[in-house]
Formats: sequence, structure tokens, C-alpha cells
Amino acid sequence: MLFNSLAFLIFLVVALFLHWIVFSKTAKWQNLFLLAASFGFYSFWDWRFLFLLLFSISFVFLIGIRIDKTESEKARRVWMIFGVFTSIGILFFFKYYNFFLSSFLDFAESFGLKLEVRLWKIILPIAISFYTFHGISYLLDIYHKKIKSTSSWLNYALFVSYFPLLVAGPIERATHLLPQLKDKRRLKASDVSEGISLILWGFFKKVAVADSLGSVVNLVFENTGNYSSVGLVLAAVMFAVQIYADFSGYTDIARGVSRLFGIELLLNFNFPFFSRSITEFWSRWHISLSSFLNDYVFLPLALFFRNRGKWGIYFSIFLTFLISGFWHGAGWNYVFWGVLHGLFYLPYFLGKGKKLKSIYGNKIKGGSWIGNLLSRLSVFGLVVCAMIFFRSETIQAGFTYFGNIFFNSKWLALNEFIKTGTHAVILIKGILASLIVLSMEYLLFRSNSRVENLLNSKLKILGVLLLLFVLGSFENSIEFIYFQF
Amino acid sequence: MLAKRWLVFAIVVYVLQFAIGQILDYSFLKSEIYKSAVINSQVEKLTNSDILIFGGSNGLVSFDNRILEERTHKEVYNLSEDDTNLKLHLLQLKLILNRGIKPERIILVIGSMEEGLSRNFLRYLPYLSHDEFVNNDFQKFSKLEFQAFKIFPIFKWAKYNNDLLYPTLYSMFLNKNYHHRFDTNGDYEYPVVSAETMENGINQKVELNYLDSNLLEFKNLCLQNGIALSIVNTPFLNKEITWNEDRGDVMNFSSVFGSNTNLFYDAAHINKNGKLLFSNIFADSLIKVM
Amino acid sequence: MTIEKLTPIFRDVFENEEIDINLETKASDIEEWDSINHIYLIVEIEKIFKIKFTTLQIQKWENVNDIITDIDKLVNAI
Repeated sequence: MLFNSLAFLIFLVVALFLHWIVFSKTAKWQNLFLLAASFGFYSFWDWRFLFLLLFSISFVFLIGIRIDKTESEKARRVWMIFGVFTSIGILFFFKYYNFFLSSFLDFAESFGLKLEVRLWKIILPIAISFYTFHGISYLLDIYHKKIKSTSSWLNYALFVSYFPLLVAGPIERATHLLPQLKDKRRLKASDVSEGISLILWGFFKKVAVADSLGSVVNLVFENTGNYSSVGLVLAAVMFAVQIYADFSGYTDIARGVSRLFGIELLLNFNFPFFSRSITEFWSRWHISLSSFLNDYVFLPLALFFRNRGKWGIYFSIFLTFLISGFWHGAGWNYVFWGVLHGLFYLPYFLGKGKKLKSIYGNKIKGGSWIGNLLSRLSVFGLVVCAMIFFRSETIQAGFTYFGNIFFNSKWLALNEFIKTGTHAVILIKGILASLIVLSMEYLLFRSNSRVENLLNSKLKILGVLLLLFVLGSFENSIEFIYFQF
Repeated sequence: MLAKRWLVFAIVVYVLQFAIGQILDYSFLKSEIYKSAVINSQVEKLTNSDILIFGGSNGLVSFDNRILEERTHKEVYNLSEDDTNLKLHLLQLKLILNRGIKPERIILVIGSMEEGLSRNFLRYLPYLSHDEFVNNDFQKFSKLEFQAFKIFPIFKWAKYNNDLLYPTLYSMFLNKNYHHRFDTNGDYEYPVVSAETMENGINQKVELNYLDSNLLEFKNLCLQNGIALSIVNTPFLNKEITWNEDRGDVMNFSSVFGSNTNLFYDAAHINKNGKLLFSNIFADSLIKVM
Repeated sequence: MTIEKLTPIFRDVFENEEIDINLETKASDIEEWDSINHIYLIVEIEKIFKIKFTTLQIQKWENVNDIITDIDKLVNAI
């Protein structure tokens, strides 16, 4: 069930009640209940793939124990590779088999080779990207002796299928989540108020910003030819804000819900649009994924190539973003998006010297306000450009979009946006809500604060509820963009 | 204690939303934003009308009130509302009957007979706690949502803030006589557009069910209350509507304009010119029946 | 191996003369210490001390103290 649905609200209230009132005698009971609730939650999406989830959990759990029990370094590595590659193999099969096969067939056909290969009807199991990654990080952390394997199937299963993070992250680490599951959780006042603050703010972002902007953005991307250059640029910016609100809103809700159960989840977004460099951006956007890729892809690669100077490092960066593109979806437009981000790092490696030109310069120690503004705008601009490909159905469509921006007869006309009264209203709602969100979050950013501290009084909570009621777009709720991953 | 403060807060929020919801319901039902509100706020005007027209968008744009009133020498009001269907018209009938409104005749325009709730059903949500709504078989469609709307009146105002909240606030504070797409007679009209923009469609034939349960119930209510009923099919472009039965109370004009695109706004609705022509044609037939 | 010997290496790699480190310092404490500079740091340390860390050692580092421990281990092994 979607987080922004009545059904989920009821599920949550019942789960909280049962958890704290009935099942809180010991950590084991709490974990058992949460696991049952999580499996129930998963089944609601698609019970058929529960078996795959169970298999994946048990498989990784057993391999983890095996690695720990093994002394020989070589044997440990064999077990680790076996575990990791099997997990990736399963993910690959369900997510990418059809994609690669049909891409290959298209490629072959362009050479005149018509191959008669049947594409299987493979359904993508929900959450597979996420639970596979949890498994991989667990095995790698055990292999690198950062954590000991857990002997509790229950705790491991809960780590992987915990319902707040099951369908769209954040991508947790065993080092962060497993220790929390060992002890009995007690409900603290700060958990309740911060949890509610997170949930409400995330909900507002999703329902007032993402869904409002989303309906407008969808229209534009379906019909890019009808819009003026300025209109297309506006829509691209709106999409960037939409996906930010959608995804960060979702993780806020996930983290807030988890807080109500006394469990902390990793931060996933840290005001990314105020970044002054592309590296800063990736330390603030989808943090759980970028740190996963950093720790398990970039670092090993860059270490392997570390004696090849800066180009070894650049190659590692590029490859990492390529993989990131793939992770986001079985589609070449996602891959291209990843490639673009890889290319955004190129300027830092050009120029003389073996070493990376300083990315920071005077930017850390304040810097002029115009300098900061310009860097923020340029980073934002690059991110929006890449987003156009992320959103377009194909790479071709993405280039068409750009083509329409530059080679358009209509420059300024915005009347397509307000074709009907309803459209105009939704657009205004979305923009208003965006301004509210961006300015509140900018204040938090400046004061080095977090979203969980935003709604720290009952009056503020009331305020957001009122805003929700007036500005929310509940009617045509758009599914969280990241659910398809 | 922690729980106590949150409990008190929750109660305060609940009471607040309930109050706001009720106030909004009340303001809406006193306004003239939609036909749904008119039913409650303009009882006198409706009581003084001899003929009421019920229908969806077809009913809304097909009749010229001036022509009808001149030809029939009766007071006519058009209660048609776009994107509404038979199920909703039944609710409308019950609402007006319960307000003591009993016209001489009802003209019921039927374009199709789809099941389920049409979109603008939402315009009737402020009546949610009223009898007519409850005793109607909306209960069959009543999901979690309806119950939630009853317990948390503000939910429906939040969910439909575009359609309900903003117009109501506008009406409350800026323009008490705001009508959304209809004039003082309840009519609306579509402009004349060039034929190129219209899909001509292939010749279609659609059959309607004379024994549809909603229709039967509608007829019975009219019968019981001494209201004459005329069932009407307005003109369609290249589409003929037929009935599986007809006991003499159907006036079928569905193919009367054939494929004459000059008289249509789109394949299902006539334009300003079509409305003038049709109103006269219709008045001819109506007078014979009255 | 002392902090004093390591500090100039940090300052050089991170291009910031004002950096100070102690045994507890972690990557998150220094803004310039991102994953890219981390690689450069490792390369520089390996070059200066003529040692080579294993991946396992590198993966286990939590703070400066861990790095120093491994440097000592490798230097003394030569």
C-alpha cells in the first residue's frame, strides 16, 4: 500500500498499537512482530514474490555465517563471491534479462539479423533492488570483518525486509541497523515528536509538491512539441523539484514511521539543491545509495587502479555512475543519465598535474555570496539537464526535449500550462507548496538543522496540517517514482 | 505524561477539523456554486419552476431556456450538471423531493448508462450526512473513504480542494453568486468551433436498457409524486441511440442532426447553433406531449 | 609513526594548510576528506613510506589511529 493512503494509515496505527502495547516484552517479540508486519506489508504488494524474498534472506544469512566460520582467506573470498554473485544474478535475471535481451535483439536487427528469441514474461518483484543490495552489503561487511554475522535469522530477516524501508529505501547497513535490533526499544518522547515531524513534512512534500507538480510535468513530457522554450525549461526544473519532493518526502515518511518504532534509519537527503559542487551534490542526494556505491563499487575499483594516477580514479568514478544509471532502471535513458553524471566530474580532472584540481577552492570557507549562488545555480542546472534524460522515455526523447528548447519557434508562451482552470490551479498549488518547502528547508540548511526538528511544536504541526489540507493534491496521487526500482 | 499531551492534541485536532468541515459543508450548501448547492440554496426558485431538466453535460448545453419558456409558457430550470450520471440524478430527485419541490414535469436527458459513480459525484459530498445520501444505495459503493469522510469531514475538503474548497472559499468571501459554468437558468453553451477539430467517428449504434434499475426507480418516484416524466436523448454526431423497449415516454433525438458538424462542438455535444435549432425542435415535441 | 609526520601529508593532499588531525579524526570530520581524496591520501602514504596496504586493511579503517597502526605494522615488517 502506498504511504500516502488511508489503508497505510490504518495499518500503521494498528501496528503501533500492537507493537508497543502487546509485543514489547522483549526485543525478540518486537522483532518478531515487526517481521510479521513487514511480510504482511510486502504481501499486500505482491505475495507471490514473498518466496523469493524468503529465499534471498535465508541464502544470504547462511552464507554470512559460513564466511565467518571460515578461516582461510581464500575460502572466505570464494564464499563471499558466491553469495554476492548469486544475489546479483537473481537481480539481473528479474530486472535486466528482458532489457538486455531486447536491446541485444534490436542491436542485431540493425545489422539485418533477425533472431527468433522469445522474451520471457518476467515480472519485476517489488523491492528486489533494495533487498538485494542489503544482502550484498551484509556479506561484504562480514568479509571485510566490519561486522560479525548474526546468528539470528529473525534479526537478519528484519534488517532486510523492515517495512518502512522495504519498497524504496533508504539502503541500510548492517553496521547501522542490526545493532539497533539487538536491544529492546523503548518509546521516547523525542522519537514521537521527531517521528511525527518527519512523517508530516514528508507527506506534505509528497502530496502538495510532488503530486501537484507531477501532473503538470507529466503533461509536458507527453507532448513536448506543444510547449515553448521557457515552458520546457520550467517543466524540467519542476521535474527536479518533483522528484526531490517525492523521494525525500518518501524517505522522511519512512524514517519518521521507523522512529515511531524506536528505530533510526540512515539519512537519505541533506538539502541537495544547495550544493556548490557536483561532489557535494552526491553527498547530499540519495545518500544511502551513493555511499553504498562509494563503499562497495568506487572504493574497490579506485584502489585497484590507484597507481594509474588521476585517470584511474576518473575511470572508477565513471564506472560507478554507469552502474548507478543501471541500478535506476532497465532503460538506456537511465544509463545515459548515469553517464552524464560521470561526465560532470570530468572538468575536475582536466588541466595539468597528476592531482585532482581542487574542487573546493574558497567555497568551504564561506566564499562570496554571489560566488556561492553561481555555483549552486550551475550545479542545479547540470542536475536538471541530466534529469531530463532520467524522465524521458528514451535517450532520443531526451535529445528531442533539448532540441525543442533551443530550436523552438515559441519562446515565451506559457498558455499551454493553463489550458484549463484546473491546470492553472494545480500549477499554482505546486509552485506555492514548492516555495514553502524550499524556503523552510533552506532555513534548516543554514542553521545546520534537520527535518525532524522542523515541526517541533504542536502549533507548527497544526500549521502543516492546515497547509496540507489547503494545498494537497490528493485526488490524482502519483505513485512514488522510486517504487519501480 | 507523554501520551496524555498527544491525546489532548489529537482531540483538539479532531474537533477542529470537524468544525471546519461542518462550516464548509454549511457554506457550500448555502452557495450557488454547483447545481448540487443550488438544490439546497434555491428551493424557492426551484419550487416555482414548472419544468426541471435533469441530465449530464448533454442536458446542460442542449436547451435554450428562453425558447423553451416562450414556446411552452412554463417556468423552466436546468438542473443538469456535467459529468453526472443516472445514479446521481436519482439522488438529485430525492433531494428535491425532500425539500418539497414537486415540478409538473421532469425532462431526464440520458446519454449513456455506465455503472458506478461519475466524477462529479464529489459535488454532492457535502450532503454526506443527509438521509437521501445514506438511504440511497451509495452504500454499495461506500468504501473506507466514505466512512472516513463522515468521521473526518475535512478529508473530503482536502481531497477535493480544487473542486470544492477553493470555489467555496471564493463564494464565501468574494462572490456569493458565483456559478460554475451555468447561467441564471442553469444553462451553459459550447462555442462554435471549426469542423476540422472534431473527430467524425464512424457510425455508432448504442442500445440503452429501458429496464435499468436506476431508471425504473426514477420513474417510480415521479409516478408516486405526480410528476410527469419525459426521457430525452439529445443529438449526437454520427451516433444513434436505441432502446430495447419504449413505453411511449422516450423522445429520441439522437440522430436528428446526422453528421452535420456545423451544429456540434464535439461528437457528443451540440454547439450554440445546434442548441437554438434543437430547442425549437424539442419544444415542438414537448408541447404535443404536455 | 606520529601525528606530526602524518599531518603535512594530509595538508598537502587535501590542499589545505589549516587542517589539524588527531588520533580520533574520522573522514566525516574533514570536509576535503571525500572518497576521491581518500584514494590520493592512500597513494601518497604508500609512496612516502614505501608500503602497500591490503584492501582488507583499508576497508577496516575507522579513524586516523587505525591508519597509523597499519602504517607502523607495515613499516616494521620491512
